Amino acid sequence: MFTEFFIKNLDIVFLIYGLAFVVTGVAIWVLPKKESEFRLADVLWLFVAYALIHAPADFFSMHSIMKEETGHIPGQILTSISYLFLFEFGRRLVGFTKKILLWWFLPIIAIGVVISSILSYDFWTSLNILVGYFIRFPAGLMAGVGFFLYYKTQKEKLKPLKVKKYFYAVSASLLAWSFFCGIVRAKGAFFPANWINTDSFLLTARVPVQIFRTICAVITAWGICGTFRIFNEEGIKKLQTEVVERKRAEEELKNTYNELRGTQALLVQSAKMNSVGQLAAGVAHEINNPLFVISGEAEMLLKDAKKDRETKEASRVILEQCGRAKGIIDRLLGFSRPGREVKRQPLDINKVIEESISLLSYQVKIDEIKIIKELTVNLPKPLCDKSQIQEVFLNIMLNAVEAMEKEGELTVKTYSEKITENGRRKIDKFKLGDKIVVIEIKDTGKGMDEETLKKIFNPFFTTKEEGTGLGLYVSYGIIESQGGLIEVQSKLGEGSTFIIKLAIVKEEEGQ
Amino acid sequence: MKKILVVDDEEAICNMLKKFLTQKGYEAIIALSGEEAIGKVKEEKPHIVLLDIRMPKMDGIETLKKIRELDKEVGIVMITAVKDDDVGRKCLQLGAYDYITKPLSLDYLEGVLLVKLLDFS
Repeated sequence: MFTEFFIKNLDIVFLIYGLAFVVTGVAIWVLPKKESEFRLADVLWLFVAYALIHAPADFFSMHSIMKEETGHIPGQILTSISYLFLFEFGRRLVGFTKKILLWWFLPIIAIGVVISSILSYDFWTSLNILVGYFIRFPAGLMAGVGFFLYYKTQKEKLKPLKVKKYFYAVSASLLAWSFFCGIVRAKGAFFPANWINTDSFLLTARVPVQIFRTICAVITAWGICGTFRIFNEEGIKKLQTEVVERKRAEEELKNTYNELRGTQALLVQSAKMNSVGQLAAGVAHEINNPLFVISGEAEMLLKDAKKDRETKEASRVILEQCGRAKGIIDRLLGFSRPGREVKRQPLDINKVIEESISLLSYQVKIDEIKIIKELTVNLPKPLCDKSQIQEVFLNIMLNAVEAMEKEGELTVKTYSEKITENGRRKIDKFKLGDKIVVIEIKDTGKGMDEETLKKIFNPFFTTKEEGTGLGLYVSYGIIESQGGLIEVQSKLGEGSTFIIKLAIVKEEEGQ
Repeated sequence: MKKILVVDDEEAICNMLKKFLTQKGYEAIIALSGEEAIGKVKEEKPHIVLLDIRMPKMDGIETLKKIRELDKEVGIVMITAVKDDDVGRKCLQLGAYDYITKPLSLDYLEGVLLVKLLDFS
């Protein structure tokens, strides 16, 4: 009864059988497996070729069997060719783990099968049977074993992907299929085809072997589609790492950009200061000559006994103002060319800060200002000119005190640092691994806006009513000439921080 | 009377110094360039030369060398508008007696002259 039902509906079974292969083939074909780390991807094309050639071929072939026309010739040829691909697929898959089967196996077997068939009583029937025994059967066997071994050897990578059941299902179904499709062939005149064949199978099992083949094919198709998860997961993982990497690169780019902007600002500042320095030297020269004539004449008037008191008083004023002008020019020149002898020696920065603070108290009232000292003991000693550095500290502290008007906090901090890749900017005079001393002078004064910040190191720029605007200009020049850096951070209403960085140079190098 | 040669490309400075030196009882002569100064050193044999450094054509240092070749005795005081330790050191090596920066105090100049002129008395 069952038997009749199946035999009557065999065409539907063939349709499903053929479709299973088409689906599998197309699915593998369109799978995004390029650049996959799994070697399975390298051989899957053979399975695609097998499935896509086999599907229509077997369809023809089976249909003709159903119509009891043995050996539909184009179908048989196509089927035989398709199995060559499956055989090669299985051989290579097994070859990943066990290199026991060599490439010449397949051509030898194929030639053997063809020759044997020619020599036999009925070429097409013999070909059908022999391809089954020597190509289909080993092909299915190898593919089944191959999938099993592949999972075993790649267990570590595959386990988290939860694809064990698919691999095992494919493996088992291919093994079963190798029997149903490779051993159970058409009835032949020789052993074992005279004993095990489609007819004897039907008699024993009462179900046509095609049903089993189709079940196996469907399970294989389902299983293979399941194993695709490894490529999908792999793709997702790749995508994730790509996203993370891209984000990191973006971040890096942003940092580099910001760094470059800072560097550019410093470069512009440095170039500007240089040209200003040169200009100042030229102007100083031009002004000193007439100033000399003026002061000389005034001096002679002052010394002249014949002149009246009023003239002498006027001469004294002229002389005094000449002295002032000379002072300004000297300071200007102090930037471009240190006038006095610069004595560089290892300097105890903390001590200079202490002295500067006590000097500060002579110059301005600092009763209401809280002075916080965060000085690192045993600070390395940079090679510097003491009076110059003191001038810098005093200039900055005076500004700080004035910025705070009546009350506030003046924090002076010292520490040493090693230049690392992160902290280094291209403009820095410091080399990687250099040790530097950092001096931070922070006030809680009124702070500066961006416009002011840009100009504070310019000569003659001042926000004070009485000021030459040379203090920070000179300080900048001093720190530059000592091979250091001076920077400022400020926020309107919150205060300013001046940061001075001085390199620690070994004495013999610095001299 | 001690003879002093003032060398400066700026006439106002020369005139002012001449006036001062004359008041102080010296005989002052003027040269407005290095070339002129060398000629005056040959002709007038001054005791002291007040020599400006930055001058067009022949500068003070060049002039200093030439004068030293002509006359080993003459006292040379360099007067410069821009102080530069390196240049100052070089001048002293080349045989200058002093190196003073403008604008200078005439009092100081007189002191330098008095000390240097002791050599010639």
